[in-house]
This record gives sequence, structure tokens and C-alpha cells, in this order.
Amino acid sequence: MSTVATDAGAHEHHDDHGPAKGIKRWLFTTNHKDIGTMYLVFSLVMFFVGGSMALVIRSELFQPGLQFVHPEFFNQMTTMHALIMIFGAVMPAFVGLANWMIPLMIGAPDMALPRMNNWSFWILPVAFGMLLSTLFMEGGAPAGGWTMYPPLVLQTGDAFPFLIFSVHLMGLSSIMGAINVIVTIINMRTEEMTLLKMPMFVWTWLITAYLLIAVMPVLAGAVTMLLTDQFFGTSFFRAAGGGDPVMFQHIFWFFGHPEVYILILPAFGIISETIPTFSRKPLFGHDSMVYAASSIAFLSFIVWAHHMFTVGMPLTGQLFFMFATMLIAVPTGVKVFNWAATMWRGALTFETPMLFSLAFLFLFTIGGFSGLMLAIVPADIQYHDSYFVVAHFHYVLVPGAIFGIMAAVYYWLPKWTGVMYNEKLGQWHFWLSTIFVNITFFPMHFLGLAGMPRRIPDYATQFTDFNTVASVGAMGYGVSQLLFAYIIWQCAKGKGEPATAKVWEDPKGLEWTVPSPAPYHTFEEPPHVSKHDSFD
Amino acid sequence: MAGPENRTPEQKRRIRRTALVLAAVALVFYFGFIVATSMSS
Repeated sequence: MSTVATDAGAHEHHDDHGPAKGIKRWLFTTNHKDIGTMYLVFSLVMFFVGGSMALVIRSELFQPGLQFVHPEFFNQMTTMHALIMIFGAVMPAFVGLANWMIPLMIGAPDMALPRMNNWSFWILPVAFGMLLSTLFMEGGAPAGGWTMYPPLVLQTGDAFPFLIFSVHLMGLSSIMGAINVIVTIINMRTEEMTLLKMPMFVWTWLITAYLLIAVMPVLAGAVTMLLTDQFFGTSFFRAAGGGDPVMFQHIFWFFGHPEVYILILPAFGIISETIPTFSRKPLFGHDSMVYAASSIAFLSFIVWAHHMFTVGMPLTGQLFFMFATMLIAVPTGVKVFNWAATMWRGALTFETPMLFSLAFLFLFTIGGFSGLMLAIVPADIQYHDSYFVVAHFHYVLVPGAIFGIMAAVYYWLPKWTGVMYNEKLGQWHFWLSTIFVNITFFPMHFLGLAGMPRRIPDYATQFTDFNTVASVGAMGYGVSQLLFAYIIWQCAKGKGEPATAKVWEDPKGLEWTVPSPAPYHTFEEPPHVSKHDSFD
Repeated sequence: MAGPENRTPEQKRRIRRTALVLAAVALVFYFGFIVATSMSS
């Protein structure tokens, strides 16, 4: 599908200054493309750091008994793996994609607040440096789970204030990034780009950014209260002082459930870009996709207590949260059927971004269905804190969010680097990832249904076979991601067939009207939005 | 150049206003949840 570059660079301005030289370019840059690149590289590094921790967990669970690590260190690994993957890998990857693509998609020269953009990024390495440093502290890293429930989390050693401060910094970075996204989309669109003409990736990011602004301060408030309970004698969550530890769970999940959609809505936007391109048809029901994403965002605020059915609540509360959760299946179903309808009778081809998008569609739906099972109160009381839950959220987050990110990287990498990635290696990466991800996570459904609890370093012998299979799958998945890093590295070095401006066969959107690689400065003059590049 | 120096005063004002409103919303949520929790416990 790719062809040799022939397009003239209509957007090249030879009087422009280019990037600064050396390390200063990256430290002081306010360019959205540079900052997007830094976010994406940081995310990839964190993906491997968090992935290494997952491999420690799966190595220990390869057989029953304690083989490699102490139970305390095992708990540190589960806690750190989650924090790093959620806040260090998936969220920064989406922010990186937003930085790179939103200005290009709406015809803006840059993000609205470029200096704050630089600051948002550089807070992150500090936050994660601080979090990772706790591994070397007295008492080790946080081990009470990423949910940080009191009173357990208050038993954390020297790492506790570092955990809290790093969560504050991650939240600050996310809020600043979200403000930047909203301000850019609201104020920097080219004149002809009305809201309903915007691509779905921009729409889903706009909704995600509103979610971030609403819920990240709630997480920050909750961990601030933990900090004051620990060091300043307050009793927000201390039962002995009149506080309520269950209140923390309510506040945490008021943040935590919208967070799930923060991690998945941008992926919905990505595959709403890739599926039409590789089906050679416009997206089916663009406006209904916007309304469905908005409905999902709204519903995400009124379902939080489904994470804590077993904590005890009135029957009316259980029923409300059960039915509200099930209601999310309606707008999600609208999206899934619209993607299927987009492909219906399309001229489909199966390049790597399309393969990852299709895997997303099938496997995320499995994660969605197991979520529906977990929403049923009497069933949830059986599944709660079992490996079934681990299987569910990994299906949502790995072949869901992470496959969405991989689809995006393969889709836009030629636009970023100016060269096509190696398609054959991309297909290898896809098949290895898809096979191993299922070998890893599918058996976990059976383990959970058979009663294996989550967050344990040892287990009864009847769980051995499925655990061994899952561990082999995890090793395979981990190793196959080295191929992903190699493919990106090759493109970054400029090795590959030169990419055209359009890269694919007649894709829609303003980002394809600039040359590949995208010049350092783009859309200094507001572009015209042709009928072809409009999404209404 | 693509930088903020090329924006019109009206565009600068709109950008500043939107950013400040959003930052204020974030601060209200942060302190609001702390105050509400302290009142309920």
C-alpha cells in the first residue's frame, strides 16, 4: 500500500528555524512534535520497566511454592507494575499521541500552551524516578496494591511519602496535559473545522481530557488525606479517630472508574481512524460515535461502587450500581457495531495497524463481556479479588489500550519518521503479541472461576497447569515486544522505504496533507478543510 | 513561526480564560473532596 514519496512538501517553509541542537532541544523544547516524541519514548521505557516487573510476578507463579522472591517483594512488584503501567506507560503514550496528532488533525500550529506542555512532560521522569527509588529504601517499595487502601497502605515504610508525592506529580502532569488538550481543541482549530467535523481521535481525547480534569484532583485529594492521616494526626480514614476507611474506597473508585475510560477512550479514537482507512470507507455513524463516547464518559461517574460490592452496601445501592454498569454496554455496543458496519462491504486490507485494530475489536469485547459478568452483584461476590478480575482488566488494558497504542504507532510512524516500518516484522510482532497475550490472560479466567485469589505469590497445586501456561505466555509476550522496539528504532534511524505524504491509500484527515516526515513547524497558515478531510 | 507570539490578543485572551477556568475546576474538585470528606467523618 505504501509507495515511494513523490509529493512536494507544500508546507515546507525554508525560512523557519529548526530544532535546537543537542540536549537543549529536548530540555527546553516547546514544539508539540518534540514533546510528543518524548512522551512516547518515556512511555516505551516505562512499558519495559513495568513489563519486567510483570515477568518477575509470572516467574514466581510459574510453579506453586516460593521460588525466586520473598512474598513482600512480590507484593511490591504487583503494586509497582500497576502504577507504572497505568500512569507511566499507557497514559503518557496517549498524551504523546495527542501532542503529536491533535494539532496536525485540527490544523493548529502547536498546542495552545507550549511552555506548560514542556513542564507537563518533565514532571513525569521526576515522579517515576522518585517512585522507582523506593525499591532501594528501608522497607522497600509500596506493596499495598495500586489502590492504596488504608489502613494497609499506612503500613508502608519510608516509601510512603514518596509514593504520595509521586502520585501528586503524576496527577499534576495529567491535569496540565488535559488543560492543554482542551484549550487547544476549543481555541486553536482552523476556522473551517467545526466540532462535528473533528476526527474521532480528537473527539475521544477531548472527552478524556474533561474526565482527567474531573477525577485526577479527586485522586490527589484522597492521597493528600492519606498523607495527613499518616503524618499530621488527622483521621479521615482512621477508624480509631472516627474516620472511615471505606470512605477512601468510595473516593478512590470515584477517580478509578473514570480512569478506566481515560485509558480506553483514546484507543477508541485510534481505531476509529484506522478501521475506515483500511476498509476504504468513511466511519459509519461519526456523530453517534461522539454521542456514544460522551455517554460512556457520563456513565463512568455513576458506577464506581461496582468495584466494592463485597464491602457491604444497601440493596438499593447494589441494584443501582449493577444496572448503571450494565447500561455502559449500550453506548459501547453502538461503537462496536459502528466499527463492524464500517468494515461491512469495505475493500479491506490487513496491514499491521489494521491487524492490531481488529485484535482490539475482538479481544477488548471479551474484556467488556467479562466486565458485564462482574457487574452482576451475586456473581461478583464470587469473582471478587479472584484471577477472573485479573483476566478481565488485562483483556481491557493489554489487547485493549496497548493494542490501540500499537495500532496508532504503526499507523502514524511513517508520518513521524518519513519512512515505512518493516511490514513483515510488524506482522510478526502482531501475531506473536496476539497469540501470547491470549496464552497469558485467557487461562486466568479459569483460574479465577476455580477460586484462585489475586495478589498471592503461592497457590494450591490444582492451579499449577493454567499458571504455568500463563507464565509461558507472559515470557513470550515480553520477548516479542523487543521486536516492537527494534521496528521503531529502525524507523527512527530512517531505515525503510520513504513514505509519501498520504502514507496509506487515500486516508482522511489534515495530518495527511503535510509531508512525511511532518516538518518541524506545520500549519503556520490555517489550512483549508476539504470535503474529503472533513468528518461530518 | 508557530509560537504564541503570532496569536491575536483576542485569541490569547480566550486561551488564558479557558485554561484558568479549567484549572479552577480542578482546584475546586481537589479541595471540595477534602472538605466534603472531613465533614462526613
